Amino acid sequence: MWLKIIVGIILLALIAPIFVVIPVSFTSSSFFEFPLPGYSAKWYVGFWENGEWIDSLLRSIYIAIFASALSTALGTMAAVAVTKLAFWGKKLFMSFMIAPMIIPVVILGIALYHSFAPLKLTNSFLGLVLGHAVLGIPIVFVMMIASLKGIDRNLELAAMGLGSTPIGAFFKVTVPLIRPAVLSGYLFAFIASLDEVVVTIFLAGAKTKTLPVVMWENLRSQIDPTMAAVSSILIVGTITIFLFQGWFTSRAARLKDDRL
Amino acid sequence: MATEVKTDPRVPVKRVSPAYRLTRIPGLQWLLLLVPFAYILFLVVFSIIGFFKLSIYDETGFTLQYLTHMFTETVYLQVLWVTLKIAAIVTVISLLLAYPVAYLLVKVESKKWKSLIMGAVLIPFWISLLVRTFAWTMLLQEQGIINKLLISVGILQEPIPLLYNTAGVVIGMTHVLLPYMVLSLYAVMEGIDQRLVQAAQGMGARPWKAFIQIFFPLSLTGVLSGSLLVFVQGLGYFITPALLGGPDNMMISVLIQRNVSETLNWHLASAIALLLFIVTLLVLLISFFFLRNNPVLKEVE
Repeated sequence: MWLKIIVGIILLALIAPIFVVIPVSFTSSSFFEFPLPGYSAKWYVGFWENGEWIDSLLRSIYIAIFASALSTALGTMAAVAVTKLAFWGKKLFMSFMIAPMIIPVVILGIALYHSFAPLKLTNSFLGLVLGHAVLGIPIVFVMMIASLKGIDRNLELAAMGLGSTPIGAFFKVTVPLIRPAVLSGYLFAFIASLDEVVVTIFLAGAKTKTLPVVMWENLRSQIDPTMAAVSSILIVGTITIFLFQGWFTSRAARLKDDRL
Repeated sequence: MATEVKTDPRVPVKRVSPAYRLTRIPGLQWLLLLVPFAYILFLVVFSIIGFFKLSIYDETGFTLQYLTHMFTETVYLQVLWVTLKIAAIVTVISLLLAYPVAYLLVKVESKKWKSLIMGAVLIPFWISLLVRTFAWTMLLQEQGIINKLLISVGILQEPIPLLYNTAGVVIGMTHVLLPYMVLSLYAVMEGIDQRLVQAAQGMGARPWKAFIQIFFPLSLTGVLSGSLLVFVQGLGYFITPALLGGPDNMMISVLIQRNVSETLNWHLASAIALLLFIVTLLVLLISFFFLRNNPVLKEVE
């Protein structure tokens, strides 16, 4: 009983601070006063009418679409290689794939800037996609390994016993089974790219600012309640994606149960 | 001249997609390994080596002056010390907060509650880091909600500074890193056979004693792996300390960024980054001995 109360308080402390920004985004004041002096939607209007915010939001989405596709492809390939192929140094290869998660992001960002600059890849769409993909690979890789391990190896063996080649069995049996995990991996890499700040601060220039970079600059200089409006939009957006992902995986699990 | 293709009428013609036919080329499966490997090698390994080279080479050639700076001028070791201290505090607080959450997560039987708790842990995990940091700047400022609340309840007479000092950094970082700790603990706790605890209780142990002597020792792998994950991430943390911290508790990542973006001293930045990298690597190497059965890296051998 006590445990439940303590956990309840901890979870409240984890969640409540985030949702505080939603009421604040409807303030009528230009400062963060508490309690709110009055209500207004002007900060949302301000966000909508400000070219810099909208441009950076769209740019973030474009980059995330391509970067997460690249990390999904590479992360899935690596995970399939680890689970299906026998080779020397597998552990080393795995730590390699997880490395971008462990190396301090500031170091990674500066290092990427340093090697992209001579190639004219800084302040470019391609450079940001390549950089964000690096950070998405470990996320997809870890998720795909978990998914591939969860698949009953006997299903592939049965397919091969019935005359399929190993590769044929992989494409016809394993691929349909890991499809939901690939989609989840893509979504998580997508959210990670959408929210990437540190590497982007170094790689983006004046013409390639993403939404987090604009938010970062806003937080560093003058914070106005537009920031609260943008934050509220992001919170609602993230939760929507999250719920969709949960719904999708549970539906996929149900379909799988029905089929078997 | 039209040639007649002879087909055996008993065998139905199989339509094979070109992508599928590609997989017949021998050795092609090694691309699965090589393509991701090459990507990480070029973008991560070579980039980082290129950047670290700057710490020992400058316009005059090979030099150790930047690296010796790290040890002759106290400011760098001091920043490293502050960083280690903050990462350690954040790790301990996260552990204390995450343990009951993960414990309840394995104990609770109803599926609905389980996914509700999991959701409560995961949603903050995926909400933008900048949004969370921004929320804390509003809550922690002198005229912010927390100070107002504490004064109206009567705990405080006047507002205490919570922002731009160590307290702010620790609160913000704990909030961000807590989910990592919960997930690491949960991954290990889930694998613990609950019957062991029941057996201990069946033989007369009080619930509290059964927990201390059976469950807790079994969960130690999770405690270690979670603490390492949080500590290592805490060492390299940038956004939260940059926005919630002040000049007295500058963390090492912030110092590196300032050297690159503000003072444009790349060689010095590279030397400090190398220091951070080596410390991170040392922590990981030490942990490697404790963590041979990390749930993520296990089983795939």
